[in-house]
Amino acid sequence: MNELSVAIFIGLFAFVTILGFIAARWRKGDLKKIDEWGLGGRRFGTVVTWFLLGGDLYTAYTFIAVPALMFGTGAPGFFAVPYTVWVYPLLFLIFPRLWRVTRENGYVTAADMVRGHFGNSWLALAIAFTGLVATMPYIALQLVGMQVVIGAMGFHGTGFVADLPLIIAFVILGAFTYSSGLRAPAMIAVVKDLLIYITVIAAIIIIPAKLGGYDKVFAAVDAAKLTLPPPPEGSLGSYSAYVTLALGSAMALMLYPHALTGVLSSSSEHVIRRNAAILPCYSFVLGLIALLGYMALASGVQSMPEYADGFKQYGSNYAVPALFLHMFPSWFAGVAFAAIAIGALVPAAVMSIACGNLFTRNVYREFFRPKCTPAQESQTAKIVSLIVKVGALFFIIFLPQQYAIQLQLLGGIWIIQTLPAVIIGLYTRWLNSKALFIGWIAGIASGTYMSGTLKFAGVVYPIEISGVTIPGYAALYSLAINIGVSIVLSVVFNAVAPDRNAMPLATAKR
Amino acid sequence: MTRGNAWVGIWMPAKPRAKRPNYWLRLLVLIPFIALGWVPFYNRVGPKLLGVPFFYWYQLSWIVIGALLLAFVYACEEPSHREDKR
Repeated sequence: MNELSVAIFIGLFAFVTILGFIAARWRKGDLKKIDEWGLGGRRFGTVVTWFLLGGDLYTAYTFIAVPALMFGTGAPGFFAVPYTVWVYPLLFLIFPRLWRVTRENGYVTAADMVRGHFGNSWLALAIAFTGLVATMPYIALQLVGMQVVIGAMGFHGTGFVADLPLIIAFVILGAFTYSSGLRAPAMIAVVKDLLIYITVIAAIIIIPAKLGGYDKVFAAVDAAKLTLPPPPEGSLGSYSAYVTLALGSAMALMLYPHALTGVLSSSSEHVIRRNAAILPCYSFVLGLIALLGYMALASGVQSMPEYADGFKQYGSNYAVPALFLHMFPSWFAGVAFAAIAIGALVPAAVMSIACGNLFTRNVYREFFRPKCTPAQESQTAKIVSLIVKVGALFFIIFLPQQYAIQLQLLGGIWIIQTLPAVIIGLYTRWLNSKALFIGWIAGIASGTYMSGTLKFAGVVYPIEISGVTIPGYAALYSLAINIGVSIVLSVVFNAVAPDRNAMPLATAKR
Repeated sequence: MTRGNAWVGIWMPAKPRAKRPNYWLRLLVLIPFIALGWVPFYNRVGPKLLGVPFFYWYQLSWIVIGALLLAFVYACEEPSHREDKR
């Protein structure tokens, strides 16, 4: 254990803890209202939204897992780049409209909007439930990211002691989220993002220089892994897998409750449009972080005895921490590890807040307490945000890590099934809510089945069309089934049992 | 006659622009879907840039181009949204 890096790590962590509690007084609002606690009063401008969404979408787990994928499999891991390029045109074209509708009607969640649009609380419940189930393993994975860096700093132990740093971090996280709501991650995101930028800029300058330039870095990668393997005869192989993974992930990302919470907390449509143009800064950083996987290969850390234990315990997730330990002076390794650990706090906080909002609005108020006061509403959301975090902590401590990873992969397939009701519902009310509900079931079932045939270890499912095999992201294939079922059944239901309570599209427009 | 009208066009202040955004312009932001959607085009090692294979620098540069396209479309649409509150 290196005292200096640990001291710096703890110092930075303590600093953001204080920030998290101070945040309650920042742009003061009545935290007894759900959109003050859970959406920061919808007052975040361009800069704050940039930090918050950047800190929220580019999670600590991403920073560990993407280079780990490059380290292990090479070029296929780079799909993160087209993925994060394609997110922003979608954000630019669709989400200002979504923001406007939610603002005008006081909606806090996507399920609120579906409830208002279609007048069907069961469809809204399905949307809320999907969001909750998809988000929880995602929170657990943030803990995985934190665990790896805590391990890299040399905290080892058995049983309870081994998990103690993680438990302390989560108690802190739970406390400031409870007291400050979305203001806390918004403020902490500023620190997190600055630390990440500093770390990455230092890494891409110092490390290649030490390794003898980018030529040497790429020369260390197996030539077959440097580009995608060419598809075999009669198949689109890795090409269709690469593109569909990127496209499906981009579509799924913006439907996650934590992404929507970030978008809805902004103060205007302009803030969202502007951010679509400036958030790609983070994508660029992510692209560079992906390359750290290759730098880890080139540095040879995997065969050094001092890192053998780490690789044994964390697998290729240990590649980047080992690289930092090997290349950076110990004080800077402390900064880099703090960046990743604080990077876990921001998304975990926003995700748990989003879960609190969803449960409160679309389960508690809808089905149990239709007449609850704003204070009860916000109190429920606070408590649910705590429960969700405790759940994630138990998950990571008591179950194999593999479960969280597999559930998160499934989560992507599940969350994309909310697209027809949430996004298409913004543009037309022709789809029938009962048809959308059955389409949702069909999408969830078919997507889970496809992943099941891959033993839940992968998400690239091969389909065959006129003799050509097209391996693709199961989320997109099951979404196609979902949309198909929704359209066909809408024809039937609109004739037999049309929606009576649907809000006409005209009122949703300005 | 025609010439006179042209002069009027120059000297008269332009009418305020229509409120509806220009949807044709918005097609620009879809270009990255084509540029990165066709994998065989960029799945190659050469030409390298500063030692970085084509596969990597091509995709990284589309992050920048994509952002510039979004900024351009935003800037063109901005006048039509002036009356909105910031």
